[in-house]
Amino acid sequence: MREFAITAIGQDRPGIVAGFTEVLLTLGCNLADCSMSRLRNEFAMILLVEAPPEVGADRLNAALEQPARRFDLVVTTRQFEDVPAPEGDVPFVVSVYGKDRPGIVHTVSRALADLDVNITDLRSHLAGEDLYAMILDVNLPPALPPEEVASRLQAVSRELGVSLTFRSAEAAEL
Amino acid sequence: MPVRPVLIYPHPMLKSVAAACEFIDDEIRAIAVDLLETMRHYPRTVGLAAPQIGVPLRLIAVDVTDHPKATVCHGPMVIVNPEVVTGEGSEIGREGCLSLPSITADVRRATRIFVKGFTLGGDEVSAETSGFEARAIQHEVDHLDGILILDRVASPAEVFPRRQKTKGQGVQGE
Repeated sequence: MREFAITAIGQDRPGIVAGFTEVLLTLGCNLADCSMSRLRNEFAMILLVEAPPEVGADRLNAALEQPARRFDLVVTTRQFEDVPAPEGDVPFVVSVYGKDRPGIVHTVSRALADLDVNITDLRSHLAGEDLYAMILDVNLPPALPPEEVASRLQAVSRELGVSLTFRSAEAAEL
Repeated sequence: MPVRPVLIYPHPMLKSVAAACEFIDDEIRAIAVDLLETMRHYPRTVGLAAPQIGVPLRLIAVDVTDHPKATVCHGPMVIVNPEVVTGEGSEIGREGCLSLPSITADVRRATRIFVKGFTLGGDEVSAETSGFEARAIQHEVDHLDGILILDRVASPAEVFPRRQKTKGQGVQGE
């Protein structure tokens, strides 16, 4: 079995998912993890696909040309090896919101990167003239005290003039 | 002035901790009348906190009468210096906020609460409630501590831009 990460993006319309996955099904591929969403009218998909051994990158790329042309999608494919997630990472959620200005995403992500904090999901919405809202899932390395991240992020939020909250996203074991 | 303008984020009062009401006098009762009238002025609005109408005091109005989601209903309530005493159970539900008119968000709240505080007559009051009414009270009490729904979302996927922006009935922050 080979694993591929496929991305596709284009103007939204009905039938993209059906048309795209039909080609993968015909090749004998199995869809593992997917994320598909629409931002305004741009529809983007990320698919992790398990392909049978006889389906290599060339054959996959050739087959995906048909839905790419039909739906005017920009498609990329990449074979990857599954790597186990690092153990002991501590999940947190960060909300950042305020009046929109350039540099919010960069300044917050730079602060996180400098602390070796990994962003695993980020969504933002420019909602109205006065509200840019960004929510992030982040993983802290096990040895990093959350208070250190919290105080660094509060400093960044003061500098940017935005509101920020940082809180644990540890799942309750029930 | 019965219906007062509703403050819209990033007005700084929405991110501040409100002061306890030291006396319950005619001034407080007049604010309470405005709070209820302002709440009723907006369609589908089941609660409002004094800071949202520009009064930095601990005073909330809640009324879930006839709301389809309400299972318990105490009718129109004004609570002075409210405190949520016990929270039990938890449930995710979608909330909107007049002070964040361009988004809605999924927020986890306690399903059963005891709330205590004072009536406009100055008497101590406590009530047990659950479900939608409990959610509304928790949302309003959060306003007294400068906490907005964006500070409560559990993950990046839980914020939703509203399809149509609420037209500018509110007041922008300075």
